Parts: sequence; structure tokens; C-alpha cells
Amino acid sequence: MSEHEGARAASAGLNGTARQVTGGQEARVGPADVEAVRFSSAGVLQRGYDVGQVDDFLDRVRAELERAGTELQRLEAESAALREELRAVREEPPAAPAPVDPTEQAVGILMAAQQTADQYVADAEGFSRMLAGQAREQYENLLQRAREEADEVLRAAHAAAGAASAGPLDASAGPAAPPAPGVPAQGPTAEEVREQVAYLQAFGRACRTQLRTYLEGLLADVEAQWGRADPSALPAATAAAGQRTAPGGTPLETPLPAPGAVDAHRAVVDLTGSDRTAPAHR
Amino acid sequence: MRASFAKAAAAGDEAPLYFYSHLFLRHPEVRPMFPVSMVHQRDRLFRALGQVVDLVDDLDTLVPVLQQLGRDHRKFGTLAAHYPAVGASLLATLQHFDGAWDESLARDWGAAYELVAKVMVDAAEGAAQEPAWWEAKVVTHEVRSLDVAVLRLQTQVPLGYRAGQAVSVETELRPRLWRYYWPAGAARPDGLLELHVQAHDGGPVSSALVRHVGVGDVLRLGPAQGAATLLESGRDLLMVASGTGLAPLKAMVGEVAATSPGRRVHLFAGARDEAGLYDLPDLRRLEAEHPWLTVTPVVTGEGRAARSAHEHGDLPEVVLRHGPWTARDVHVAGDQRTVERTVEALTAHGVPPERVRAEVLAPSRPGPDVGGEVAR
Repeated sequence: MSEHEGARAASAGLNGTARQVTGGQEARVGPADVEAVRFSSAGVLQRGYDVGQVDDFLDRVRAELERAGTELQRLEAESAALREELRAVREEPPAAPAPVDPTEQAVGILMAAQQTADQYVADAEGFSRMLAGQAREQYENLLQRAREEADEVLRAAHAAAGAASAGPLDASAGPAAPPAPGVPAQGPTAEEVREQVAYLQAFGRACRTQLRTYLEGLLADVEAQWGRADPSALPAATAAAGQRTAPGGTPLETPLPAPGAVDAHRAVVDLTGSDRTAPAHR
Repeated sequence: MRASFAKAAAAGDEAPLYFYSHLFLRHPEVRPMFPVSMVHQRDRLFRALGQVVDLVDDLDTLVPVLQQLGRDHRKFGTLAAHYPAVGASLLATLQHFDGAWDESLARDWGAAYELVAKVMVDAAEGAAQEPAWWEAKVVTHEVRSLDVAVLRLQTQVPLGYRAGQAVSVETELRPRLWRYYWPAGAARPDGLLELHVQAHDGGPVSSALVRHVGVGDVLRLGPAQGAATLLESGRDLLMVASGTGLAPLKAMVGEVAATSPGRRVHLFAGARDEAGLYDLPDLRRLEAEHPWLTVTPVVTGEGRAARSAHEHGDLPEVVLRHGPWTARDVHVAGDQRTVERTVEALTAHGVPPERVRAEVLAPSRPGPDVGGEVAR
């Protein structure tokens, strides 16, 4: 402090450069002070400036430079900190506004809206469940009936085959008794029966395939119904459908019916009409 | 604190409905983390909260439950920052339903919730070296019967699991709906995974997985869960599967092959009709590969549809006919009715209950009347 006191005393003695000193603050040296500084001559006997005054002034300049240096460092540090903060703020997503407690009324409205949405989804799922259940039941009934019919046809065919093979035996046992003219032939030959059996078996297979495909079409429609309740799922659903594998392991050429396209469903059924194992007509 | 929870719980569906509405209004940004229909979500929330409140005096049990919850929530995209938001809405909900709510209750609940959240967040952060979920590409998709498909999935990073554990599955066709499936076959280092999926009528995820998902699609899988892993006594094994309950048991066969091939395994695979024995060729292949494995397919349906050259009849009865099984460890998996009846029959047969492990396949959305649940 004594240094400061000295500097202050010196400044007080400078020509017109005395600074107001306030509240114990050190008088600071500015460029104007350096410009305006005048030193008394050292005295009558010596040449040059008064050494005391020059030293005091230099002290003040040194103090000022030190202060400026410190200040610069502090400002640089502060500036770096601010830059860092700014970068962080820029990188972070804008902070969400402080959450506001919703009013009871708003909560009530959202509760009702959510319940409505829940109800719609539940209805759609219930509908889909019902349709799928009905389709399955229908599939099983049709399959059952087809089996019974196929059994019936096979039984008839076996009976006919039995009769056909019994025919020649009868003929050889008795005296030659050609069929009376005008009476239709006794029945199909064994060869014909075999052909018929093969045809019926192929027919049975075709029916099965067709039923399966028809049912899958139905199920796909049901799925589409579900999809409508959740439209965001639709494009992906139809895109994915193209790559499925059919039960037998052969790729299904036709994509599943597009949602809402009622005709696509018929197209799937028609596809089996051209099934190579199926008879050309039904 | 229990009293105020009881008051909210007594309000039934109203309370979680209020909670989620409050949460979504205060933090609209979390709404996309939930499915459109919140019915099941609400159910789960209060079940979980009830469990926590019940166990609050039994920290040894509670803490692992919370840790598991915390880890499992990573797959939903839950962040530490979400926990205070949930806490605030939870307190608002309790206050709404409790006429006697006061400052001290609010403080107690706040502190308790903070503790719960901390355990969950810590567990989630502890699991941070493991992926929050696994992306799994469908590499094959075979529709084996009208409503069963076998999917093979490829994950980039192998998803570790024990035979008998289940993984949760989400498809982007049904966003935010996660369902549990058991991988079939032991975990493989190459990240290949096999799922057996039965489409339930009206089941959004199962029917999408069977009928809409195709090769090249990407599913999301959550971490493996479940404690019904292979019994490790070294005894011979009896396994009884109905339907797609076959999957976890097939995984156990794989684990036996890898770790203890000395154990004999008799696997019964039950299905209503022959078409339901959807994985028989692969089971026959395993049987041919492993001399210690016997596979008996059983057709359980009645009537003409069930005509078959395989064993036929009620699954528990057929199993007992092949007995005795009293010296074996038993794993049972399948639909609830079959599993319960099989376990009952085997216990009566003399198998000690601690040697029987059962897993029930439950469609995640039971009962047709979802609307009824809303009104309850």
C-alpha cells in the first residue's frame, strides 16, 4: 500500500494530471496521463527529471500494466467459459419449457379421449377376433364336409371296382350270357375306376388347397380391418406381405390382398383354379 | 402411505387413467413411447405399483424386482430424465384420489418414489454395456399350419439367454406392443434365433408375426427374462409340450445336448391334430442325432379331424401310459389348461412338486371383452 500511497502523492504533484481518487481506489494511469505527464527538473545542480517523480510514475505504470494483465486473463477465462456454455446450449436440444401442471378440466378431457380411443381399438380387435373365429369354424366345417364327401365317393368307387372285377368272374362261371342288347354296360372297367379314383384324389387335394387359400384370404382381410384401426402399420404390412412362404414351402406368387381391396381376395381364390394338380374344371 | 395407495387403487381404472392423462399433458413428448390403446398399460402400472407397495418392507425381494424393471424399461427408450416426470404425475394422482392428502404424505411419497427411481435408474445404467434392445432380421419365415409360423431371426450382437427364458418381441407393424416368446434351441454364438409363433384370433402381434411379417423385416427384441430354466439335478428328464410350448423345451433339449448329454430326455409334443405337430421333422432330426432323446408326438383332438397314425388321446394320460416318471425331472409348457392338468397328473403319479417346472403360454390379451376391462 505504501507504494500506492506514493503513487498517489506523485500524481497529486503532477501538472494538471491529478486524478480524482475515490473511496481508497488506486488512481489509474491511462494513455492520456502518459501523454500529459511532465516532470520537474531535478534541480539546479543536476540535469534531467526529478528521479523520485519518475520512479513514482513508473511504479504506477507497472501497477497498471499488472492490473491490465490480470484483467485480461480473467476476461479470457470468462470468455472461454461463456463460449463453452454457448456451445453446450447450441448442441443441446432446446430445453422443454418447464412443465405446467394441467388443470383438472384438461385431465378430464384427455381421460375421456383416451377411453374413446381404447374403445375403438377394443372394438376393432373384437371384430377381428370374431371374424377370424367364424372363418376358422367355417374352414373346419368345409374341410369336414369335403372329407366326408371324398370318403363317400371313394366308397362308391371301391364298390364299383368290386362289382367290375366280380363281373368277369360271374361271366366265366356261368354259360356264355352276353348282356341283353339295349341294356347299358354293367359299369366302368377297373382301369376307368382307377382313373376316377386318381381324379377324385387330385380333386380332394385341390379342394384342400383352395379352402386353405380362401381362408387365408379371409384372415388377411381381417388383418386389413385391424390395420385400418392402426393406419400407421399399413404400408409396411403390405410391403412385407409379398415375401411370405406358402404352407407347402412354395412361395406364394401373389401378395396378400391389399387392405380394403375386396377384389384381391377373389384373385387369390382364382389363383388355385390354375393349380396344376387340380382338374381343369370343377 | 399404504392407505393413500389403497384409496387410489380402489378407484380402479380411473386412477391410472388420471395418472397417464396428467403425465401426457405435462410431458407430451413421452406419449409416443406408449401404444394407442392404453388399457393394458394401465393394468400393468397399478399391478406393478401394488407389488412395490406390498413389498416395501421386504427390500431383499423388492430391490431385485425394481432392478429388473429398470433394466427392462431401457427397451422402451426410458431415460433417467423421465423418472421425475412420472413421480410428479404419480403424486398428483394420489393427491387427486386421497381427500386426506397433506404435505407430510406428499413428502413421504416423494422420498419413497425417489428411492424407487434411483434403484431403477442405477440398474438401467449398470446394464448400459448391454444393448437396450436387439434388432433382429427375419431370415426365414415358414407358415407351418393355418396359424403357426416358425421364424428364424438374425441379431448383429448375440442376445444371451438360457433355455426356458423368454424374450419380448416388437414389430413395427404393431408399434409399442411387446409380447413374450421363447426362443427354441439353445443360444448360439452366431446370433441366430428361432421363434415359434401361434396366431391368436384378434391378437394384433401374434397374427402380424404369422401373417404379415416376412423375410427381411426387422423385429426388436428385449433382454431375456424368466427363471424357469433347466433343472440341473442331473436326473433324466421328462418334457411335455402342448402347441408352441414346444419352443422352450426344444431349447432345453439343445442345452442338454451342449452341457449334459448323459441325461436321457423323453419329449412329448402334443397338438390337437396332425397339422398342429408343426415341428415334427426337426424333432425327428434331433432324435436321430441324439441317442438319449426320445420324441413322442401326441394328437389330442377328438373326432375325424384328429385321425392320425401317432399316439392319440388326452396328453396327461398318454404321458402316464409311458411312465413311470417318478425318477425324472419334469418340464411342462403350453396352454394353461393342459399344463395344469399335466402337472396335477404327474404330481398324483408321484413326482415331487419341486422337480416339476411349468411355463404357461398366455396370450397377452386374455378374454374377448377388452371393453369390459375398460369399464371395470
